[in-house]
Amino acid sequence: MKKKSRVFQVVNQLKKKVGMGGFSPAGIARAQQRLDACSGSPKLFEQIAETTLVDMKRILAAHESGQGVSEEEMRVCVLDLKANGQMFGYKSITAICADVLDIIQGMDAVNDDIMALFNSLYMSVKAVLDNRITNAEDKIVAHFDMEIGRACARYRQKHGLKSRIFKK
Amino acid sequence: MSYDLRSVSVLLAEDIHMMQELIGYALNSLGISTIYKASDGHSAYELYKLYKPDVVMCDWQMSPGTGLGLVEKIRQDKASFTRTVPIIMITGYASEEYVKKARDAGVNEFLVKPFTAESLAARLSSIIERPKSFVEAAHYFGPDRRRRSVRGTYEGPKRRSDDLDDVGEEDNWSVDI
Repeated sequence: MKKKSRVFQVVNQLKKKVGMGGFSPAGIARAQQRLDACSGSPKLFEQIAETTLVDMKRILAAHESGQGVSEEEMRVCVLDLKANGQMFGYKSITAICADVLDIIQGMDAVNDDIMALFNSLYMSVKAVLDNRITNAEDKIVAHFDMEIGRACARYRQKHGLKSRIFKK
Repeated sequence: MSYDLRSVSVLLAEDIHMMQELIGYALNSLGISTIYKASDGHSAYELYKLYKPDVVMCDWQMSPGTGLGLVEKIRQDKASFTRTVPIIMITGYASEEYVKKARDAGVNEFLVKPFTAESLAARLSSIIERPKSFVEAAHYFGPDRRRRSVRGTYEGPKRRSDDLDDVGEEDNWSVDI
């Protein structure tokens, strides 16, 4: 038998607490200043990325030794690098993660080809961080981006996938 | 005149310390001073039970206990009077699959990284000014996931507000699950 659901309104306690008027523009401006200050501090990202690189290395080692690798774990590493790179002023990392992320998000199962891509991304991110290249327009970043893009294109061709991202 | 946020408390669950600090600063700047911080889903749930915050903000990926797990725990705790607490999921995962997963777990709003102060304020405004109805069903407890729709068919130039006048009270809705 189908069970009827119940739809109900919750008493809006939050509205009662805060009253009328919205957020003050000055408060929003102050908050944005804080966020901008961090965007101009790539050092913060380097510490975050180091942790992610350790995770990536562990995943690669696990695959190498024949242990199972979780798709979710791989996805999280790339997503974190991409999102936090943008947030903390390391747009170079965001740029080189986009293509691999697109493939990882669309993959059905872990295979050797995807692990090779994951490894290329790991090496590229490490090189970018070691050289502290934050600019997405940098020549080295453009080179990594192009090489990873080519590898992704080969992967898509081999596995019959379509790209879901738009690149200028 | 603007919101008086002095008595509002937020539980912030974020595993990256710097991101936790950053969001905390941004919330402080917006006027929210009571922020309970946790760096994993399990300790966040303990803090949630202890302090009963007005809003929960959580990152998706944390360990032990993910943000998604935290949302499920909060929504499924039948003994709790605060299981309808507004939850904002902070994530870099903007794909349809992730949005659907989080929505099905009972998340109210999404804040996609990288975010601006304006978007943070907008998500908070949304839960303050436009709270969704809640649905209690056999396999789901959380904000109403349906999009509002207008009744009837469109037959030419007409103002959308005319359609909305015909929509009944949400309290009267019921659906078969």
